Amino acid sequence: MTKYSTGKLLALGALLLACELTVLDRWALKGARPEALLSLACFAALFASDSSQGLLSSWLIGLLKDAGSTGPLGLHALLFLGAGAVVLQIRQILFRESPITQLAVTFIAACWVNLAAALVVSFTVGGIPVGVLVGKTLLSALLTAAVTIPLHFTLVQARWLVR
Amino acid sequence: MGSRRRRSSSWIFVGFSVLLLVLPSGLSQKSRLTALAGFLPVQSLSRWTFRFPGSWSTNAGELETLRTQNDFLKDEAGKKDREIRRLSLLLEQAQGMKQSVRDQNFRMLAADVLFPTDSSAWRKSITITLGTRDGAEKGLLVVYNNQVVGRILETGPWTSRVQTVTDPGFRAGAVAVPKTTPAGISFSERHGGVYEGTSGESGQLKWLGGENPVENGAAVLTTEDPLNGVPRGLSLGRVTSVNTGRGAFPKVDVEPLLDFRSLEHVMVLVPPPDFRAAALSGGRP
Repeated sequence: MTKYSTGKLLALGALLLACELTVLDRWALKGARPEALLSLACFAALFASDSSQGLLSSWLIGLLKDAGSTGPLGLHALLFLGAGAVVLQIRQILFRESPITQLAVTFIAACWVNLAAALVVSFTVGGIPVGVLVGKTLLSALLTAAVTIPLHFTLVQARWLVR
Repeated sequence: MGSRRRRSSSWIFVGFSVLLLVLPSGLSQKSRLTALAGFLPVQSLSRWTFRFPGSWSTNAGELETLRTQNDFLKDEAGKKDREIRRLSLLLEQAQGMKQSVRDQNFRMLAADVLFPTDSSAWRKSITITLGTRDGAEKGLLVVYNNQVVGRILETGPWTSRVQTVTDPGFRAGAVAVPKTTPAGISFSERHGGVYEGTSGESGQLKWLGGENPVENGAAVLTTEDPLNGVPRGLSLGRVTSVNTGRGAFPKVDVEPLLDFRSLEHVMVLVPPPDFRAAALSGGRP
């Protein structure tokens, strides 16, 4: 069982935010890029020692994402919290050490976060064409799932990173 | 029992999120931009470490001293070369811009790009190292050469966030100018439309009136908008597809010529004080 320190996870989150805004954006495909912070939030929910830690970590990682965004503060915090809460509810029936579980959880969470964020942006800022919305959501979720396997593997193996 | 506790702690976080969501945007953006300025030392450090090797060495023996001096001078020459390249780039941008706004007396402020993207998948912005302390203001246009990069959305003391032309919230008056202009139709006589970002890789030109045809490859340029400090003739991109469909207006896809991810420097365009005042009073600037 992998436990983690919330402070260390947040420090790692700040590093991943800088990566998302620089390196990962350069690897974007058709404007979609892997959401490393969301993957970290899924890790936080899957491996939290108790539900409060999982919720707090997911919420704070979402808030970190909000720091680098033009959108309203608290939007990603709320969406990551929702994803984290669902993962915490179902993790009892999941084999969380399995890469397939991590991949599936992150893919679904990425679809939810991207779709919900796109709808909020559409309503508050301006319409996003349906083609762009669907294509980018799926591609981004796939890329996020792809990033999840090495990220979670590293965090589980190199425990000093987060403990 | 555990489930009830989990539910109650969830609601606390939901409450906090809603509280943050209803905070005035100006207040929350300022704090976020100030937080992002925390990455400025990292950027400076990475530049410094790039220059660091060769600038110091031990003083063991004359040969060693000479080698150190040689390395230092090489490093200095390298630094000067890089500085010359950077300044040449800025000069090139400024000259390119001057061709577009030469008779309108715009002032230009140079800025480095801190982050070339937005952390949200659906918003498009860049963060620049120019804040209110250096004269950045909300609404100012940001350009690279004569290409529009975007508009300043929020300003912090040291950094500002620029909404790029591909952001769904970016709108500007625009006109499509074909590669081969038909005789008798000048730039000012062409019918304008509204350019909008889509959150994808390209933007769209909407509400394009008139009978003038739009063709693939046509340049999309800004129309003069003194109220928003936009001069005429800056490039927004190139037409990549035209869908006439069944609607009254064609749907025109516009691809920006710039790759915002590779931008290192930009220019902030500050209109002269009389530019906006003249528009408000109904006269020409």
